[in-house]
Amino acid sequence: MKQNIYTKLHAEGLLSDESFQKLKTRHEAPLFSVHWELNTILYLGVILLTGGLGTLIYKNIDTIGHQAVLAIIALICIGCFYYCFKHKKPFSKEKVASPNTGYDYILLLGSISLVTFIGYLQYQYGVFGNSYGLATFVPMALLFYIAYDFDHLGILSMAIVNLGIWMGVSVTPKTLLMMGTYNTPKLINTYLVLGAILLMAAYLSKQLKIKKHFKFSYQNYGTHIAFVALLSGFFHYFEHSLSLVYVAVVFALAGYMYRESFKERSFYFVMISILYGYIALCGLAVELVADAKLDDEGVLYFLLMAFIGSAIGLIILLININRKLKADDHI
Amino acid sequence: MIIYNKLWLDNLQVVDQLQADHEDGYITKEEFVAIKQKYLVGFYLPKIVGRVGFFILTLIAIALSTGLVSLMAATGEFIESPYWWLFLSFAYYACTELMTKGNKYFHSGIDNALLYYSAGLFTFSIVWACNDPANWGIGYIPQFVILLIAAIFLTLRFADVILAICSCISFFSLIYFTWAKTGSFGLATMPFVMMIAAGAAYFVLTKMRKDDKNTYYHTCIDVARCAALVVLYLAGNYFVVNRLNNELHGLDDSHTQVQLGFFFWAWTMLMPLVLIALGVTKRNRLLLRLGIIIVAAAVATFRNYYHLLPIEAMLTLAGAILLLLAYTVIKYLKTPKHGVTYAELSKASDWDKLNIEGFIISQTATQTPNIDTGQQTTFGGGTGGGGGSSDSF
Repeated sequence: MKQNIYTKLHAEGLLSDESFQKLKTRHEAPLFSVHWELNTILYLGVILLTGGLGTLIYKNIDTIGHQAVLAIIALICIGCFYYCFKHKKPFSKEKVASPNTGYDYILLLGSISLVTFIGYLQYQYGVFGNSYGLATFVPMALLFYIAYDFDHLGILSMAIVNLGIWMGVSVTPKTLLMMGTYNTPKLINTYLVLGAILLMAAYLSKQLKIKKHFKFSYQNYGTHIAFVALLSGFFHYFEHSLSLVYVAVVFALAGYMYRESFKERSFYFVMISILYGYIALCGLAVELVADAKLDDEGVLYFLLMAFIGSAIGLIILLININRKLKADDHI
Repeated sequence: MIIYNKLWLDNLQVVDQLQADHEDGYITKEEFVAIKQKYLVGFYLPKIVGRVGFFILTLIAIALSTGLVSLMAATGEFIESPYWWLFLSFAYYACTELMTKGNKYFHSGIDNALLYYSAGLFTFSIVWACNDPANWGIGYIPQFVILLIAAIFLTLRFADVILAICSCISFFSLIYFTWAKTGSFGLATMPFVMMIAAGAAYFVLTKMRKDDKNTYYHTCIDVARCAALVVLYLAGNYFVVNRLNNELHGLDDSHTQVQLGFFFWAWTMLMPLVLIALGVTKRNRLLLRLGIIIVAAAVATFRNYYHLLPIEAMLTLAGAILLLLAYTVIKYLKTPKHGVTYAELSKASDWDKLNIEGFIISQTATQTPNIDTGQQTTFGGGTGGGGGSSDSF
């Protein structure tokens, strides 16, 4: 089947002799790559091993003793980083490819054990005393350093999550999805500041040309955190006039993000800014209708129809934008 | 039968294949552009991000519309019968047909949402009507016959993988309930009947996969083959057979013996290995991946009956074995052997660009620090939050 396609294209003059030969030899003796499968097994192995060892130590802590445990973790950590420093390529502001596949996993294992080591020290011996800020700042700073020096996107994600922990909030993707947990003004504001920092980092990554490929991670976390925080603020102060400030900021940020992402031709961020803006708009509509106190079935019908109409309108709008961006679209 | 423009489907196949070759550096950009211009594809094909977004938005719009229409119709008794939902299902199906044809959709998100919603409503109303004595009350067998026919029709019409899976579920459910009708003899021989059915389905599907006439349905057939293999495995899995046996004889779950237990244990343990071996020797990714997943099922089954080791020792051992295995295989395949290689042959796909790995790492690898978060917010939140923010600005 595949061969037929090539033969046909070749006959039509759409494939040069050289390309045709290359493709022919490729499909005559096809190589079967088990890259994905082996990588999955590797990752699974790391998770099972660390999980198993962790539980094992936890259950036998009385016989093993904390020093021994710390020593083991430190040994793993040192071993990993010794390997990584030995094989490391020099720092560059551009993307640096990892020397081999194992390298990334070893770096990951080293980083996880490093964070665990520091956490353990603080938990058991309280080396940082009561300064919890410092106890979380140190691992965060180390993680950012590792992410930049060794160029590892996964560790950058860990560092961003740790930045949130340092500021006192949890930013794993799961907690971000549960908007309802952001219910105190202090928490909302912390998230807002975190979102602003991350968006700033995304902006600076691009502007200063330092590790431009990190921009996506920063922007991704930053956008969602900032918008979710703003929307929670809006719904938290729903009955207040303060909610109007939040909704105004949502619109401003969405508009700005929309323009910037459009310039960069990133449909993902265009869509996200439109969607968050739309949610705010719907909330505003409900608020206005609730304010008008029209206790009428007609209002319900009107709202439902307005939502349906606007949702369809939104789909058409997004389709059109997608068409415009299609010329060269990445994510 | 298929709703899409066949010429475009053919062209899409050519373009897709040559695109992969282009990304892997086998053909030049000029050649690829020329081929793309000659083999025009008129479908509306957004990328994965767009498709997911459209899908969700369409679902919201349909759900709201259903609410609105139902609200307006709520005065009559009609709405309290399955016919109302059946009517809505047909209405949405008409929308799917018209929009797919009119807007040249091809699994673009919008048509998927409409199609699944319509199929979901259909299933809901049929299940309701068949099991409610006030309506038809005709039981499982006619119900699955209707669902199977509908699912196969939709699969053939839209070449959609989810509906292909639905067809498989209906098919195997139909066989199960039909055979169960024969009484205790039926239940006693159930594993073998299901094995035969699944094996036959796999055999027929593999034959169909080789036929050039079915080229538009290749993905659907592959998914269905996968489903058939999973059923084939589960039908002989010791745990499943044991539970079914207990159900039949009214025993509780402490009873762990079954007749022909040796056969079922062999089936549980050997089938994944056979799948992996076949996958590697026949260069079949489907069998290989399925085999790897089923190994986990086999281990879980074994552990359910024999607690040789405590769970943590088991995890540690398994992790060590997996790492060692992967390491050995990678070392062994440093230079490709027998046409199998560890090297990456194709460029990163859309999914890789989304940095899924980073997402998973941030979700799984930060479990421990998460515990700190709770402490932070309760008695350290102020220092961390306030101090941090002013510092960084």
